[in-house]
Amino acid sequence: MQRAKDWALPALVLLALLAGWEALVRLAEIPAYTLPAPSVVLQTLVANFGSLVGSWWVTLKITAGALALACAGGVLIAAAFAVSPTLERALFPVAVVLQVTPIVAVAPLILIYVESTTAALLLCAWIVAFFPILSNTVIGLRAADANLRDLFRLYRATPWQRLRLLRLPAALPYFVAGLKISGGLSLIGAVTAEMVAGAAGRETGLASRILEASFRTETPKMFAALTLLVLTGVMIFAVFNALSRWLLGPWHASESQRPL
Amino acid sequence: MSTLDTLIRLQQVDKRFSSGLQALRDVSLAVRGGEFVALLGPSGCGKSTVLRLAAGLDVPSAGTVQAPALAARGQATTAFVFQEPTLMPWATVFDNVWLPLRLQGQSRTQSATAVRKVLARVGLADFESAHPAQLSGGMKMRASIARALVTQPQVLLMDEPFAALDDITRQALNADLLQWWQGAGNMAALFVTHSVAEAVFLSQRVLVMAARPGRVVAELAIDAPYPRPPGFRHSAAFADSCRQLGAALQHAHAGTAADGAAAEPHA
Repeated sequence: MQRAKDWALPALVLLALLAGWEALVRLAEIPAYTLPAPSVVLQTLVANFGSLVGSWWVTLKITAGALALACAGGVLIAAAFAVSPTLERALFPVAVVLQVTPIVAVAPLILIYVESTTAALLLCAWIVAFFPILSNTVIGLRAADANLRDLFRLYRATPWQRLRLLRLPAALPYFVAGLKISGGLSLIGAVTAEMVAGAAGRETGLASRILEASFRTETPKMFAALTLLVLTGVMIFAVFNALSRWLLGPWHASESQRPL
Repeated sequence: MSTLDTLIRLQQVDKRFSSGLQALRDVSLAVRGGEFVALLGPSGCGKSTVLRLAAGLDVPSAGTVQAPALAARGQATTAFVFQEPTLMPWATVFDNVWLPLRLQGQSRTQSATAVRKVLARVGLADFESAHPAQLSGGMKMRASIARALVTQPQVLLMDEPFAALDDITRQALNADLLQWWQGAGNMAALFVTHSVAEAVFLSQRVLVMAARPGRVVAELAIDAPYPRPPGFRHSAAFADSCRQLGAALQHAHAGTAADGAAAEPHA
């Protein structure tokens, strides 16, 4: 019952917004090439579903690939930093430089230097997505309780045991928080890079389809592709919320069911 | 091992932290196997520092420390119970208690018998798959003590373990702790507390400490058999010991060494 209520309110708000949009377009007789009504967007989506899903799959692969590499890279680099503070001092500024450089500005360069478009897109999305995972995991690896650290020293734990049994579990909530941010960012990175790459290439993602539709003033198609992007972002968010509940639910305060 | 063997010995120990704070000055004490000794004093008197030195978690600035934790390599001869339960929140009660054995390379299967036995002893047999967040404060402390006992240590160091618990839970745990200690053969227990009643109820010997700088100012033997007789808490002897320790603490606070019934500390 409570769950139904949790869903009902946001669903109602969303429906009301869509209904208002539909009514506005019809009453003001706005042409579809300026602002298509939701019903028209839906029709366009259904009519072009086959080709749009192909593009969606391309974008999703780039997003998921970049996120997977961001996880692996972020965690491995963070672990290396944890083992060697010298390495952290030497390399963290580089990571910061990567993070603060606007991806739209470097994407054209990356597209010049990296021959394969797919690899270039992956690299762009990775640059955007990896920093939150890295910086959060770095903090998390230092966050183990001081008394627990003493306990591990008392029992003469090896550095590897300390990392595996104490520091990594203690870093998990921080890593998950980074993952939630990076999930959305990897989609943004993939779309941004595609926008810069343009509609070239045989395998085109959703961003290229939006560009292509915009050149042809096919506004409903732009909205249809955008709808798929939004759904993808929401899906990523939902997946990581579920993952967080599964990983942290039994023990971490952030997933506690008690009222705040 | 004879109960008379000295396990922990501090001789003329000074401890000065890098901040310049002198935590301990000229502290000498000895704890024998099978003994239960309480360290009693106000906060900031260096009680915890003594425990950390005995555990090998800190080194003295001057003087010598001998303890099993410093001698043996790769053996869990010493266990430490902190003021907080200090359990790994992500691990079940079983996994928390398994930890000291696991760090010595024992698999879950190899450790299962020992872990279940000690969990049964502390009354947590039904909670081995619970996470710490699901336990009450007293149960968390029981799990923490189970983890300390699972290696059958020679020395059990406890740093105000029950200070955060309510009085009823605390008294129950005090009585249980004495049973566990007696059941552990010749295990020496060094128990830090700021509660006079707790020190008298638990220990054979109470070392009174004073602050700034931390030092041992008095020692009192508690002459009552184990298990403590029923009604011990309300006996005249109990009240008398409490009074003497209270006086020693007050003397210490006034900056003078206690005299009378509380004798000088011996090394």
